[in-house]
Amino acid sequence: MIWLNFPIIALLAGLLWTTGIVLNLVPRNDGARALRLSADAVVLLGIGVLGSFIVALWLHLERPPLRTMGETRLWYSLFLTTIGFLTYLRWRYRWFLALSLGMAIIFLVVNYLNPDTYDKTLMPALQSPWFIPHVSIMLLSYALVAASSIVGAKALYQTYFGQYEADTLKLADNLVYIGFAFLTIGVSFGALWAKEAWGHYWTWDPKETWALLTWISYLSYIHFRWFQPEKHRLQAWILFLAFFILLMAWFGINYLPSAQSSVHVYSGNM
Amino acid sequence: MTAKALRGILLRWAKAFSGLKLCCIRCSAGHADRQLWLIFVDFFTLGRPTVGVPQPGSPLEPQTTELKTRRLFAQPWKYGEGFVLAGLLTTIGFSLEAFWGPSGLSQIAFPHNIYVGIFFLFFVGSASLMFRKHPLVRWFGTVHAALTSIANFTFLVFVMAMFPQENTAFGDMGTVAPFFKAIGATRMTENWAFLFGLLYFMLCLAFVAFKRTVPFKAKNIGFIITHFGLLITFFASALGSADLKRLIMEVEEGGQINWHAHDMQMVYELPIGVELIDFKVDEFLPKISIVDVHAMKLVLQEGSALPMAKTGLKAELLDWQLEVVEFHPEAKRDSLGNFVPTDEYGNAPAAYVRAYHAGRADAREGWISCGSIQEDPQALRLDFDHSLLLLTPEPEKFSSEVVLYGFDGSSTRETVEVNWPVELFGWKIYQLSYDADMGKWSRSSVLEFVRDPWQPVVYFGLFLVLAGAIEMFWLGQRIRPKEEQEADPADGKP
Ligand code: HEM
Repeated sequence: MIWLNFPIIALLAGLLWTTGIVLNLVPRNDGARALRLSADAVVLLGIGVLGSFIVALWLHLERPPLRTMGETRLWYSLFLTTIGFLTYLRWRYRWFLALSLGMAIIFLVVNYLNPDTYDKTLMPALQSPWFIPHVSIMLLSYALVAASSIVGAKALYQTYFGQYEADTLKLADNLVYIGFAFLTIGVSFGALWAKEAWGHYWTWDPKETWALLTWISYLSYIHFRWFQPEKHRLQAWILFLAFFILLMAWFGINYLPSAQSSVHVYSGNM
Repeated sequence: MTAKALRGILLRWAKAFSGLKLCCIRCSAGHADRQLWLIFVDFFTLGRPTVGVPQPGSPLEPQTTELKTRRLFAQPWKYGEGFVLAGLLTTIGFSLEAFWGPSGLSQIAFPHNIYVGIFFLFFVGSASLMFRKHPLVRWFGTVHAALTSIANFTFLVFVMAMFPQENTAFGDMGTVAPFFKAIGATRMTENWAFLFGLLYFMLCLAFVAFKRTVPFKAKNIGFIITHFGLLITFFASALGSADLKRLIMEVEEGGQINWHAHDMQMVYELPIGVELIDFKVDEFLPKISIVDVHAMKLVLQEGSALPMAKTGLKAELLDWQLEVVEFHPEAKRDSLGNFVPTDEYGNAPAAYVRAYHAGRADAREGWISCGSIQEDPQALRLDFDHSLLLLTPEPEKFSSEVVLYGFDGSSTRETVEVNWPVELFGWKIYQLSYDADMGKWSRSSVLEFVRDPWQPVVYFGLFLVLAGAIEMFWLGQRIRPKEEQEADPADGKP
């Protein structure tokens, strides 16, 4: 069973990324080329390790590993670190890279301690060409907006305990704008798929309702931010709180009384 | 309610309708901006403490006064007014629901929904063209209004997310307290509060979309596309819900051509007749699992998938080493109790398994089978607590081969499969389910007929939103330039 290899993979990626965090957090000046390159290398290597594991898992399961919580957490770690690295390449925020690496490691640990049932079967409604684009875009967008919420938390910290820097929320803006665009595309794809699979594009299924709530939260941020950019404290709060709605949309839904027979709750007896 | 108060209320309405320019109710100064529609608002906010006093010299133009604290509902409106408005709409909505019943939004069918739509667009369009400067028209186009309407809508959706909804069949209604049922928290899409909230939301969206469209500027194209797109999407899906038909049809192999389908209320005659030629289920291989015989619960092994049975498979479950010696996807018991392969009706998958345990010298072995409509299931006892089971295979796909007869005498042969609906005469035909008790031996199939004339409009709106989203992705963040903020008084910046 390929999942039996997971602890080794998780340990390897986790060690590489921990090294990455340490290397990124030690103070360094611009001339420290060797340090920078080795920091980049360990991060990329970790991404490579996890990426190969996902590919292997995909081949082994003969379906995209996007169905159980455990599987989606793998993608989440992968996307988080990739986005963290790309953002770092563009804006050189080392703390952001370190944070996203840390979050990815937490996901790997969660997966190790509490693996979900991994399953080879895929119910008929999920066997659709829409499946991969929808789910992977949703995950990517969740990862992006979740990352923006981390930045929101940092802005909050700054406004209360330190010196607020305008650049903090500007980074969040970039993440929200890109993430929100993907979120819109992801939800729309979900609607188009639902039309083919279930007969209607929107049925107010709890998972859909929560995805809509998530979408609206970040929509409010965009508008408020555009309209009154100077009110950064409230904006940071909106971003921070939106994260909880996101968590709800993504995990909490499985435990809600209103979602007992949601078509999107795949755990249980399947 | 005292007679005096009632008289006061009636007097106010009378004055409103007689077209009098009213004085401000609270300070009796003749504010020109307090026009007819404000009576309504004043009526509900009567008795609120007055904060701040208008500057004596300029009672007509409260926005030029230098008040630190502003009187609620003095122009220009900001967030406070928006929240009060939203709160009122929601409270009234829930009360209407409790005392009168559902709003019946989903009853406004063709052609009335078209009239409502045209009226709405005409109203907002003409108002924003003719009364650009009207304080309300302006206000509806600001982020103040937009954010309060979004917050209100979020609240309503949140209620919907927290309570099981009647029309969706998700969740258990038994857990809901009677109060919440009475105010319609369990049927939000039919709720007055939802209708009002949607209306407020769409008014904001429509006013800002028109405001940015005229006068037209090329740099606003992205904005126009997203905001009109969203307006169209919401509008068409809300108004179109009454014209949506989702009907169920049961067909039987070898049965007659069926021209009828039904929903919860009634049976409809369709322009399409269906004859089921063959219903097929493909199944995954069955999984092997261990059951706790006392708790009657599956003991799933964490961290790895349950193995799927096939000949020669070696796997580990709990502390048991399993070996599948023989596996037959289709088998029946012979007189000795052994399973032999057959393609006869009513066969079942079966496996001959050997199970070793590190702590025991002897191996357990024997047949396991999940059974079928004709065969009894068979488990293998492992120890005092546990038995080995073969689980009923999960369907991999199921489909109906049908002949579709048209009302015009045409006929076509089609396969209707999950995720692959067939379209004919404006109807989409979906594979919904089958007789699950019979499993792969089901001879009947359940199809769903869906007709949604508004779908192209909804999709058109959705594609506009998508195009806007892509534009947004391309351009990234934009903080509003300072000069633009100052040039636009409409958002009521002092
Ligand atoms: C897909 C959904 C939406 C997206 C992507 C979006 C995006 C934007 C963006 C980027 C701006 C900044 C204006 C600019 O860049 O020129 C904006 C402004 C605005 N949006 Fe939205 N928006 C959406 C939905 C809504 C909704 C639902 C409302 C109202 C209920 C709304 C009301 C407004 C208002 C009032 C402004 C300010 C416009 C002005 O004052 O000129 N938007 N929107």
